[in-house]
Amino acid sequence: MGPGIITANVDNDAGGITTYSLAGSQFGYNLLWTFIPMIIALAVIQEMGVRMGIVSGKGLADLIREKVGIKLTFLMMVALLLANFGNVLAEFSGIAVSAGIFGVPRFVALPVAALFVWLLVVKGNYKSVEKVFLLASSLYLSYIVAGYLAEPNWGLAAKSVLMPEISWNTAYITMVIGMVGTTIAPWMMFYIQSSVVEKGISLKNLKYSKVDAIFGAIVVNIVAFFIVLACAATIYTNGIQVNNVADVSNALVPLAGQYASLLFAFGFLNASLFAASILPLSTAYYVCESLGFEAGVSKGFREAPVFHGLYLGLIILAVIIIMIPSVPLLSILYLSQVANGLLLPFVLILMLLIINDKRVMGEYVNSRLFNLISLATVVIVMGLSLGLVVTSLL
Amino acid sequence: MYLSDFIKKPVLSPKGEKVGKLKDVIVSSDHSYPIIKALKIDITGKKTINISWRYIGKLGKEIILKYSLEEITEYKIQKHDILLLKDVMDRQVVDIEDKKIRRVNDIKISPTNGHYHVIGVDIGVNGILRRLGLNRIAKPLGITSSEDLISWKDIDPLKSDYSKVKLKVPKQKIKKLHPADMAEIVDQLGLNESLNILNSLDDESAADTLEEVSPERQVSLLEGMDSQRAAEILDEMSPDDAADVLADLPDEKAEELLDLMEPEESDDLRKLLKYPENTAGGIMTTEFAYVDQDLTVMEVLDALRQMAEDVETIYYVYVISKKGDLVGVISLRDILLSEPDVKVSEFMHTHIIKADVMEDQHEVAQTIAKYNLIALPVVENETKLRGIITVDDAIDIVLPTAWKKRVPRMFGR
Repeated sequence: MGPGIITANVDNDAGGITTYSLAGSQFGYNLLWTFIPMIIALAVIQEMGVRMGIVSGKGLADLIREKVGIKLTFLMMVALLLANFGNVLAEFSGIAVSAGIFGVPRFVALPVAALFVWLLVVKGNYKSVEKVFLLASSLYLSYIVAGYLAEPNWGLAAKSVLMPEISWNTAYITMVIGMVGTTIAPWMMFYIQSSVVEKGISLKNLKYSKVDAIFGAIVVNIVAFFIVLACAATIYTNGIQVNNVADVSNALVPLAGQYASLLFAFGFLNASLFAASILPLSTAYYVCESLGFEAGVSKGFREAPVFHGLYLGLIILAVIIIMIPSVPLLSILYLSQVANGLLLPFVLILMLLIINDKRVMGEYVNSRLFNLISLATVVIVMGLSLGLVVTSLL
Repeated sequence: MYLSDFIKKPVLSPKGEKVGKLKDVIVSSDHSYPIIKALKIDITGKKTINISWRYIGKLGKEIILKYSLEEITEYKIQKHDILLLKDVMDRQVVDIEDKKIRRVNDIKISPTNGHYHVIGVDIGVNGILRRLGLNRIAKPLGITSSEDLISWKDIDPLKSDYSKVKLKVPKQKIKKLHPADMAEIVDQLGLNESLNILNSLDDESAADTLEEVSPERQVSLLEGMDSQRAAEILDEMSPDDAADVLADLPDEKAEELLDLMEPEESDDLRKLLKYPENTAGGIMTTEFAYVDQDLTVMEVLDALRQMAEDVETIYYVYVISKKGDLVGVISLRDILLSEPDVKVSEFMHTHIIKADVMEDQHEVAQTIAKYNLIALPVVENETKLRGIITVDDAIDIVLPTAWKKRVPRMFGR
């Protein structure tokens, strides 16, 4: 199992699943076409991250620091910290929501989950952590099963992929941004490159890692595709109004059966926990290493105060905020995806600057086609984000 | 004074007109505290030029030239010159003594005798604040810490290229570090940097370091380096460790390296590689002390002196019959306490605790723990001695050294 697959699975987190299921519930089969361009963009971007990691042997945050100096790096890290905090909030709100589906109150579920995350990272050993991750990854298949159990109209699905009917109203565009923002998340680019560096993959294995990155991009989109499909076939077709994943799970019971509903809820809990284990820690690592602070779980608090402060701070603050009874969970999920979408073009531009630098990449600089696809992604996402800002101001 | 005080500051002609901005500072690495030799200047509306130090009148918030641009001939960058901003600023520094990886946040410069010397690199919070322009705000708020400076004379580029990793300790001193400490640094760095460090070590130290590195990293390091060099390092590694790495490599690569190794070493390894990884045969080493059963204590001592260099432990000496069967074991204590002319067969222990080559490694560890052994002989077909497993290998089975630091690393850098 390579970094591409793990990254892809972490990518379908609480924010992702919420966005996809709302997309299917509100727009039916209509948005399925977006997965084709998203697979292409995600595959290209993941491949770039893997290539940069293997050729330079450095993480993205390190390369940004060495390319543009400390001022831009600092700004980028502050932005990433904020966006990732939004994502961590989203993961814990996902835990709260899915615990609610199983009837567990959030003031019990959240501290338990936070403790689990902390223990897994600090006290767990390599083998057991790997097993947990493998299990978590395979659980994503539950969405594909749920999609089948929902008995979708395959003809209609194929038609909307091949001959999309795109509408231009605000709700539609907002949903598209949400989907792009959650599928091609900025933290993910940092994460995949770091995993490649961490594994110490050598240049000779570049081929395999590329395949892994592209395969991962396809897998993440297939799982997402089935989430949209399941909701489109049941909730949209029956005209039911839903506002969050709990509504979706409840609505699935009479329409697709008890099992599909349970699978959906369980997949959601798993996804939220999985991402909550990884996001706070990786964020603390990027920030510390690019700014030259001491980092590492095996180091004590006195040795690495900034690192531990960031890591524990992200988790504890997120748990406290989500515990507030009247906190609007859905808005948090949604806003975190918008923050991703707004940050994405800037991360991509920096990636393009670095990957086209012969001093860093040597003969492995980007091809013209790759530059074109990633530039197109930058332009489209920037356009969509600007559109969103403008429409929300009007 | 710091480099960040000068960078991007205006450059003025002798008449006081602004002609450009300072882009970079060129120093010579010949000196242990490098002297500023030239300034790289962005001329307004034109390209950049390098101006030799002798044309510079004043270096400060403004840079004043002694002559007008027309009178200045351009400085040519020489082999040992370093561009401070491009090559040093923001790069990694490996603090080998404290096993930390830090970043150059600023560079300290000091004027002495009319020359400007680079004194060291700032790796502290102050450097970050200064470069973000926040130091004036931070001071009244009390966010100051003591200066965190690495002296330039303690810095050594790993390659002659300064843009690569810099070490706090000069290369010559690396060898004095314990291999386990060295391995911890190699594990933390990126693959390319780790390779640079290994390549700067001699075969023996590189082998000792590699033995302590985490298994995944061992594989990529060997794949990443030149095959000939990899084979030389494998020659120096103890056979059980070398076999473990080779077993993890793709078959083709392992075969290539075995062919490049010295025949004596590679024959041993090929034998070891036959056994599955988690069995006694898979973890044993073939370098053990053994003697013929007819030898006297005197002769055994002579034989031991010959073997001592190459074997894993000399505390247990195994006794072999004429037919090549394992018939006994003697400890160093037994030898020292016996008369010189007694034959070993007269006092050797014949009740031998041993393991079969196919026995599970955890059972082996338990046996070693149960009988408080320093090493356990490994046999094939009941009596043929194939290797030994030492107590430190047994500890590795029960307590894998690498996991504690690997867990967090798999989440990100």
